[in-house]
Amino acid sequence: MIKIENLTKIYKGNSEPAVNNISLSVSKGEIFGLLGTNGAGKTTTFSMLCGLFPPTTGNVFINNLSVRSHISEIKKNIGVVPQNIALYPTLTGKENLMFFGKMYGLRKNTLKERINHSMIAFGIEKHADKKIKNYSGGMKRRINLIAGILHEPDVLLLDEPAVGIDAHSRLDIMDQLKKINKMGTTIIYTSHYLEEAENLCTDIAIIDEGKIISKGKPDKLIQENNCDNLESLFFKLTDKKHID
Amino acid sequence: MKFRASFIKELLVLLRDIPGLIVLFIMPIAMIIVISLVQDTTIQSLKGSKIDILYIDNDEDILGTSLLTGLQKSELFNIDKNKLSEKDAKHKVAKGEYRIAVIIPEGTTDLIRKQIKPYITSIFTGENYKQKKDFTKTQIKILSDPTTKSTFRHTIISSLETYTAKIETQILLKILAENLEQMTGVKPEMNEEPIEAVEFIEEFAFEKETKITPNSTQHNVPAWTMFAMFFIVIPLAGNMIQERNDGSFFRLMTMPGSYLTVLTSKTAVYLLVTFTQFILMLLVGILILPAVGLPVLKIGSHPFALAFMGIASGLAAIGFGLLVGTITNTHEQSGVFGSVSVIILAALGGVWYPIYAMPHIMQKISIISPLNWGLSGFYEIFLKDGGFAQIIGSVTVLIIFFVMTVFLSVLIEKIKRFNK
Repeated sequence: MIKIENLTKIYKGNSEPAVNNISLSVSKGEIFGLLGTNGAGKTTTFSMLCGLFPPTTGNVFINNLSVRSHISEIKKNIGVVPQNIALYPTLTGKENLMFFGKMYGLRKNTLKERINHSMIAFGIEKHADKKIKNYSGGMKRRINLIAGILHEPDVLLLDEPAVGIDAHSRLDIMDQLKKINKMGTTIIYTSHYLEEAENLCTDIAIIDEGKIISKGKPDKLIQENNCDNLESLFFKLTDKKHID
Repeated sequence: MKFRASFIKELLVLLRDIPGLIVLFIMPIAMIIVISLVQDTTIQSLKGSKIDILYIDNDEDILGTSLLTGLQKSELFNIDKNKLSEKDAKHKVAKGEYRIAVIIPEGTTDLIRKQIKPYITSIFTGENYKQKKDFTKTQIKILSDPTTKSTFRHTIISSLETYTAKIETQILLKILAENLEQMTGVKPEMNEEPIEAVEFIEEFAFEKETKITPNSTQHNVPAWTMFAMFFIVIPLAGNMIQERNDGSFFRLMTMPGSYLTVLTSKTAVYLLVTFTQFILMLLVGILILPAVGLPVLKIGSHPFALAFMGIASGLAAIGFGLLVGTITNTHEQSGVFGSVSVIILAALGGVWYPIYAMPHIMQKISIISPLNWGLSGFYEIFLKDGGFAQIIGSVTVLIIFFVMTVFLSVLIEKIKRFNK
């Protein structure tokens, strides 16, 4: 479904690559976690996956289509949830979703139906007509996520979808992601919340200084490395005492 | 459908930004009223007198009296006739009680007579008149406050020169008549009033019949409308930077559709804004400026050409805003670059100072300013009652400018994103 081949990104003016020759594949229906500290190369990889800028070398294939040559077709089948709250603060939650849904080409009635359904599922239907600037952090994160799934994409790309919110909201979001995945959506998500990743992901890759240092099923990796959990595995592999 | 969605989104974002709306609509209206009033007051103060003058007539003869009458007749000055010493007069002007003091020395008229008499006599006797070496020129002293603008000083000096010349002629004629009387024994009939054989008729050179009279309103409304329209650069560029900062631009770039769709919807919404600004400015010229004592704006007889000019100017301003929003990365950059560049383009475009009065090199440079192209088109309509044929040149270059700036914006955005 998703194939990353020798992906490298060297930003202009930098000699060191931000992403250094990474290769991996994600099968249909997986929840794949790309884990690493801040500056490890997660967001750069994420940006190249959604075609925001091209790789220096290497390529990404989504549904056998190259991001270098077929980005327009790829964009129709992916949903993107950026790390920032990528919403218009002066518009209401509903207005934001109407706008992004229409930008994905959804018809008015279908869109209205999906917005209502999603808002109920995420428990924010009462706040639909409130302006985003008046939302709590958790509510903003939920709308930010809904905006990326309205068109029911084959692949959902999430960059730190639950960063900076309380544990309750985070659990809610994770539950919803599992439900979305069960409906057939392949998920790639970046995070530095290792416990969250351990519970959610079917497969993971640990990225450090632009390189993938380990990949596989979380349980298997933990076992192979004689660790108690993903967090201790991460610290062992990255030789870091804490994660930012 | 995407365009419509994007248009509605832009419109909502704009309508909910109250400070932004104030900047877009209230500020230009305030600006046009204040500047028109200030400029009109300046013109009035130049034209319509009220310059305080201290007039000291130590001559008390024809020159002193006639100069006073002449100055009073001109209605340019508030004259206070007084008998003060030069020292006191200097003190009063220095203190700012009067802008200018005019001192006519004692015996000035006599001195003129003494200079003219030998000249007239030489005409009748056939002698070769040569000016005496000890000839002393009559000196009328003008004391002026150093803060008084040169235009005021020149107005007074020019008035004094005109009246003095008239009086010298009168004295000359009088002496001539006396000489004739001595020679013939017949007293010639003299008319005390000077003959004014030349009359100046000022007329504006229009190609066709029109009821438009060029005045400060006809100049100011188009000039400041252009200026206000181009100030859209700041909110428009700010909107684009905000979109990049809060991540919604990132999201848009990962969605199907091009950057051009984003720019097109922004263009449509901001065109609505510039056109509303334009209509408001016209209404200010028609309704508000006359209410504060300024001339009423006459929009000529080609409303569609005028609307077309408004749209073309708005598009040029929006194109520039899109380019600034694409090039700059922060609100600080766009704010400073946007405002300074608009001020420079306005100065070059003749908004503050007429292009014909600029140095030759600046006149050449002014061609690069889109405000100049817009202003030229508006002047065709507002000052010459021009129609489509007269504005087509201005409209074409404004639209070409818009297309070029949009093209550059798309190109630069791609380069910035893909050339990381």
